[in-house]
Amino acid sequence: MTGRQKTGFVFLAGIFVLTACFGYLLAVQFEPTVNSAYVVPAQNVELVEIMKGLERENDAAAQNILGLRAKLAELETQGAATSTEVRALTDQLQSLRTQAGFSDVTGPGVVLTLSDSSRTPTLSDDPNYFVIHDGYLRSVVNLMRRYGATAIAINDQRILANTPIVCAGPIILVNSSRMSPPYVITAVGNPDLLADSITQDVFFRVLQAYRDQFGITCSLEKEASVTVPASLDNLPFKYARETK
Amino acid sequence: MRKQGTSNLRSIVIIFGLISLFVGFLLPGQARVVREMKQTYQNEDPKDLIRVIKDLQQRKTELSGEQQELTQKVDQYVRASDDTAAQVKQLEREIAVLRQRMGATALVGPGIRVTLREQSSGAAPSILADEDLLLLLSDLWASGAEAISLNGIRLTDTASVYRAGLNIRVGDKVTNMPLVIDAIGDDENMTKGLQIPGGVLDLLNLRRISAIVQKVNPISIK
Repeated sequence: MTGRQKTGFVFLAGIFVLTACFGYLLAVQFEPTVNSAYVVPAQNVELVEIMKGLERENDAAAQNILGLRAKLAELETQGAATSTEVRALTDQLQSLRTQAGFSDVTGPGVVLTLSDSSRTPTLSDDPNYFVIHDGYLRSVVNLMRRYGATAIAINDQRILANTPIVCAGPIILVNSSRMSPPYVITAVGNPDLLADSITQDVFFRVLQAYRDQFGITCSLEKEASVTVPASLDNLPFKYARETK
Repeated sequence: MRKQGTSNLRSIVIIFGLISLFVGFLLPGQARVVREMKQTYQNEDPKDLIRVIKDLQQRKTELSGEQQELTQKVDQYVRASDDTAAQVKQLEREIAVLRQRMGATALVGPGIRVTLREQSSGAAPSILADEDLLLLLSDLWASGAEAISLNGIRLTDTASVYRAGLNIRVGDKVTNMPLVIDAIGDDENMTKGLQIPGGVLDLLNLRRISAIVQKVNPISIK
């Protein structure tokens, strides 16, 4: 092979690689366009508008609930001054509210952060490994309860026994509210015990492997003080009644 | 001959340059499209968005219910400001509601019973995975369960649920298969919630865990 032929060969190989890259990019570029072609965009724009409108209303309602609760607590404190019986009941009620998750809790604990990978999966990757699934959140909450967390929240939502964590396609819903990544799971409890037990758990190690391999965010920090917000759902039961 | 080689080289360089330019032009566009899609949800399946909207509407109903309850309580308190007996009554009522919620009182009501059985026969026995059980419980809460018990152990705020060998730990208690899950609440809605195509019952079926769903009235949970 002469020198010139060699150079020509190298150039051809170079062109080949470039064309392949270009083709790949084209494919990636077209994929979302093709997918969105059979989703009626106008309809989705409308749905997203409705969704955001409802979220604004719910946020306002949440603020209103907190305001009303503060007002009620104030009235109760005033009432408690009038009689010992009322004072005893008010104290009992306030302690029950805290135990049942209807007041903010501040204390030492841990913060676990999960977020989707910033890397775009290539065509040969399974995109499932690049995103955080609702199941991860359920498992993390379960782990935190297992190792003694006394109060847990995901982003701004308090997690009680009856808090559903489900998904609608790629959207995670906690307490019927849409969550956006990063998912920050805050737990009040013994920071050393929680952090050591969670990091040694198989499930957490799997998440760490996904982090190293696919670039998802998965971090756990001990904190001297974390605050978990109060739950807003305190409606009396509709179906269940006390056994007589 | 040499001239022709040079012109070949030149055209290759030009093609190379053009392709690089084009690739470079596409890259930021691609990154932007992906980022925007993630942020705006405009490219989601409309079915998923409708599900989110339904959930948000349900949340709105719950929150406005809670607002009404609180407004009533505040009004009653203002009205009963000199009436100790009325205040005591109101406080006792709320204490009773909270005790029900926390699992301190036994409850009864309509609901459903889900019985899960693993397959012990055959070459590969099936085992109920923690994740599947957690999904089932979450789906029950999402479709309106008010109280749930697993083999008679009521789920509380701090109770974790996990397999420990063949046993199942529920908080600080231990039980084992078969697992009878009792849930008080809207039986129609809960049954529908579990039976969604591709939902948790299909998943359990795929894993060869038998799941029998029955409506039971009344169900009692201690």
